[in-house]
Amino acid sequence: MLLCLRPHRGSELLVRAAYHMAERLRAEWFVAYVECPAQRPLGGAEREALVSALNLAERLGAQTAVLSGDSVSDALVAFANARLVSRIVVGKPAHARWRDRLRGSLLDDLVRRSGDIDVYFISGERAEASRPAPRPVRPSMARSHLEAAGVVVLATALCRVLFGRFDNANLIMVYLLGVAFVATRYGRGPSAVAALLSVAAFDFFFVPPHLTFAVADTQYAVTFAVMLVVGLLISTLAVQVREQAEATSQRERRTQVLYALSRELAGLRAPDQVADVVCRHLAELFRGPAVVLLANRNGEMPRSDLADAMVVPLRSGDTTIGAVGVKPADHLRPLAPEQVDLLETIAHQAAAALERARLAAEGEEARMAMERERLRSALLSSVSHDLRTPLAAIEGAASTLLDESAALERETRRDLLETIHEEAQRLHRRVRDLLDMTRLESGSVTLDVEWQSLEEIVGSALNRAGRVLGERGVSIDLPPSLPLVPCDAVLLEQVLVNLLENASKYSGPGGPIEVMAREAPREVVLTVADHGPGIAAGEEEHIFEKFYRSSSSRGADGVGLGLAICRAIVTAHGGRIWALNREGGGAAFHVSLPRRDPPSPPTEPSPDETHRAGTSA
Amino acid sequence: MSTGLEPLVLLVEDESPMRRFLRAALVGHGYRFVEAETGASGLTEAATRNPDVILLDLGLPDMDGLHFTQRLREWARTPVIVISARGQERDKIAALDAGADDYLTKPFSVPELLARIRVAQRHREAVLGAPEEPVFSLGEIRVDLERRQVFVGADEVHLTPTEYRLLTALVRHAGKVITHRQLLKDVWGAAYATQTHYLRVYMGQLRHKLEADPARPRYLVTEPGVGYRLRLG
Repeated sequence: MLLCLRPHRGSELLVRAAYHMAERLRAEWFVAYVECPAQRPLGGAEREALVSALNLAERLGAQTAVLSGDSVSDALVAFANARLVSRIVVGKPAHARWRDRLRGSLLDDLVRRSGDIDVYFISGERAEASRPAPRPVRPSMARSHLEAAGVVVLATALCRVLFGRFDNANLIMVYLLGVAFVATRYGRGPSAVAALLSVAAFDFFFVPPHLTFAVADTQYAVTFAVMLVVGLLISTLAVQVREQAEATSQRERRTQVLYALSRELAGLRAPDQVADVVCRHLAELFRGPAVVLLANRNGEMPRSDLADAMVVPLRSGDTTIGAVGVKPADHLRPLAPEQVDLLETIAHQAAAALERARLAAEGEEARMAMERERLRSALLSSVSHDLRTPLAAIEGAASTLLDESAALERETRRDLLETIHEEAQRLHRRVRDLLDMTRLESGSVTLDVEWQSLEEIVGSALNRAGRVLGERGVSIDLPPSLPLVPCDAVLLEQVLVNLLENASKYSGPGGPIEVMAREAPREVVLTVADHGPGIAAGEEEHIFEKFYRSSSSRGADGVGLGLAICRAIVTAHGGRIWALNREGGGAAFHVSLPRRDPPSPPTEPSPDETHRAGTSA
Repeated sequence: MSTGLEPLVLLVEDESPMRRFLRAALVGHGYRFVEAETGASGLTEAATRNPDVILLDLGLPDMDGLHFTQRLREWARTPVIVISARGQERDKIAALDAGADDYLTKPFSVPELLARIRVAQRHREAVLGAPEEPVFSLGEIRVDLERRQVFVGADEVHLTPTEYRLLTALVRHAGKVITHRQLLKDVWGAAYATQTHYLRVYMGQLRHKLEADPARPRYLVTEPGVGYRLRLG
């Protein structure tokens, strides 16, 4: 970033503004002053101001330079290109426009020559850069009057030329034109002056007797009066038009501000985000600190330190939900009505946005409450049915065995005892699932992650699920190059057991099951596949939900938590689990676990191990 | 001191239904049986009755299994089998590392229990001075401890020195569970007590060399989260 200093006051403010800009952009910045032959030499005070500005710049971390060149813009652009500057910053021009016409405008030159470099014109007070809004140039009072007089002089000169060829009535028109021009450009005062002077000049130069202020024909009194009135009328009109134009453009700016604010607020759902955005816009608009206070649930408002602030309450319906306060830059003056209006409109928008946020939060809570309710009732019905059924069988079998009056054969006795045994195991599996799910949900399970061999986990899972698997064929395909995987062995074994139980449940008494694993660049994928009926279309995701019983499971065994538990465990490992139907029938469940580089393989230990008959492989 | 009588089992268990069925099962299989409801009374019974095996429930009201085992081990080498519930892995491993010999997870079957008790007894006898067999056989596997040779069926299998040490550590504990920590200390040394990935790699190698189906091992069994076991029969 390159800041160009010019010889007028306010350089220090410019330097500070540039410093803030550079800080925000985290950019290297330069400050340069260009000496060129076209400029007049600097006065003492100006030189001092320049030097102190350059010193300030260096203290703030800029690199300074004094450049020379044929023109300011040439030198600047050359320097900027040499140092790979991407933006040039200049103070706004403070001199009159006509000087630019004579000497050439730096503004124009720079903008045209800068090429790829952005050019920013800033004023010193604000830290932000902006393109200059075209402000109407209002010359000072004294100047306007003088210039008004100048116009009259011009008109007189013109009339001199036309005198003799045209009627006086037409000469008046020229003066009228002059007065109208002054009124449009300079306002009421100068137009009144112009009217008077025009009348005087007309009287003096063109009304007989010439070169006196006497008036021969009293008709001219009317002329004079009319000219004066016309002058005042036009100037009033002109002032009004100008004021209306300004008011309109202010309104337009306000509307834009409100629109920008409402757009930013539209997507927000959190109250503090809303407060932040509103605060920021208020601070920008009113150029002073702003604060947004939100009432808590009990309706109490927090205190704020902002003194002398203009405060507007935020209302939603009948209740006050907060307040906005802003301390404008010139807080000693009361706010203009449009500003109060703007503040209130912003407060409305803020209140509406906060209301939206509240409703969204309530909606979310309601939804979660409904989900919790669904789960609770599913749990209750599951507990009541799925646990009571095996208990009922156990109770019934046991009481039958105890019943001395029943004459039971040995076979029957054996049968009942086996029923008790099997139902007890079934009950155990269901309770285990419920407990697992509860522990996983409550977050009380911490993963005990260590490097594990999938071969071992598969082996022990097959062991544990042995009874459920029964006599069916289970084929295992684990490539020997499978890497060690970081995981919790006990939990992953449970995942496999659940998958194996699931597979055997759905693939009938003898249906074969396959277990395989393969490695991929970032993961290891374990698959349990069966040849059963597969998963009903569209249910591939639903089956992992808690208590979900697929429509195709007739009198299914289990509480419906097995797959949900698998998902919870796999997700806790940072992995994924999904199910697909296989070509040729049956379902395949895939578990993907992220892999990491295992530690370096252990080396054979101590060299004091002398050679044995068992030589190394 | 048990003198040719049936072995004496001490059960330290606070839940009465558990005591009932264990009493019935063990007495039914010819063991002598004594019970204690708390850890403290369990230690007293152990001191006065000198049982051959102690069954210890980890969920005692007055002291945890670790404590009991530590106190017991101060003056007795009696085999201890801990009975734990699922999810009590840490307690289980702590007790095993403190000197317990094996474990059972509720719910368990009586045959499992009896098998563990028999293993525990056998080891006790070995400790008490019965000479170690020079050749250890397990199914098709034969380990000649004298000549340091290993055979599967008729074929000799070549093991690296580490693999051999690992196998013999398992053989020394045959039938009993041996925790990761114990195994690492035995084979690699105390400094390696936490390098479990070593075990994964070497146990995998052993399984591939000695087992017919390394993914479904008959003898070199993994106890997830706890350790390994050389399963007998």
